[in-house]
Amino acid sequence: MTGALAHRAQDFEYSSGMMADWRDRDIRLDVERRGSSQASDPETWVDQHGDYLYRYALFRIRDPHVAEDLVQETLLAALEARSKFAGHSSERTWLVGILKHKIIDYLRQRHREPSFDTSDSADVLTEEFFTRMGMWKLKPDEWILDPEAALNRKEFWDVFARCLSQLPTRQADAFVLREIEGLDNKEISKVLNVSATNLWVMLHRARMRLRRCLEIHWFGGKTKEN
Amino acid sequence: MFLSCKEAARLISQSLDQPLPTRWRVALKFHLFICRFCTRYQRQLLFMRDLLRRHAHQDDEESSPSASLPPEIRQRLKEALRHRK
Repeated sequence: MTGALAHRAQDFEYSSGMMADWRDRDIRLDVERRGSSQASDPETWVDQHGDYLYRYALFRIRDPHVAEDLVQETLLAALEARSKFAGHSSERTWLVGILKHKIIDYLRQRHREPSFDTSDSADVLTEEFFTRMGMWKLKPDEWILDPEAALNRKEFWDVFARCLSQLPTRQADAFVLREIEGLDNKEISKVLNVSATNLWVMLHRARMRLRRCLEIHWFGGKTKEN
Repeated sequence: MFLSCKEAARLISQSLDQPLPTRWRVALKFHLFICRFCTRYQRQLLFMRDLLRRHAHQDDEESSPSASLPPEIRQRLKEALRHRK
């Protein structure tokens, strides 16, 4: 009797669609819970965020193997810290936050030895860009300053990456930390193991060379006026 | 005080990292008033900075150099995550 009643009740629920609604709601709640306070299954991280994290690291470090390693370290560290993921941000933002730390740690290690390289002295730069009187030898060309024309173009970022990788490593790293990661000079001199004065010179050279490289390969030659 | 372009370029770069002492700021301002090449230089460095800042806040594939994890690395990562789970 009770069994039959239960059966009928079930039939009623199914037929009225209530049960289905409840199940949908439970799944929905589960998804919401996961989205807001819990990381998803770690195995899905590789497909969901792997390429993004890899490009992020590669753009800043310029070495594919190191970038691969940093992604791996990031995902493993995330796995360990999974329970601490508070869900205040998206899963990707959380993973990028870990990757940023890994990048800085790596750079600190890469530049543990102080630099004694003098081949890249201020004089070399002077000869390259300025006359002995301190005038521009290679005058900056007119650029069309339209961010949209570069921002969403993959080709532009490929050119940018190539220009960046032509700089001496420390110089490029200084530029990345300053202009891409937005650290201040004090923090950067610690990571790169250089004095404040040295860092100024390095940033000055990096900007000078990058600007020139971008002009040659992307922005330049758009107008005759000079 | 008159600056050469070489000195002005150095100050332009420095000014992107911290405020210049007044004396140098005034000297640079005067130089930029009369020199269009250094004015361009400054504008272009600021433009580069603006691009990179915007780039950092975008995470679509269109605004990244093309690159993706090699298949064997993906596999290795998935296995590593599975084993340590």
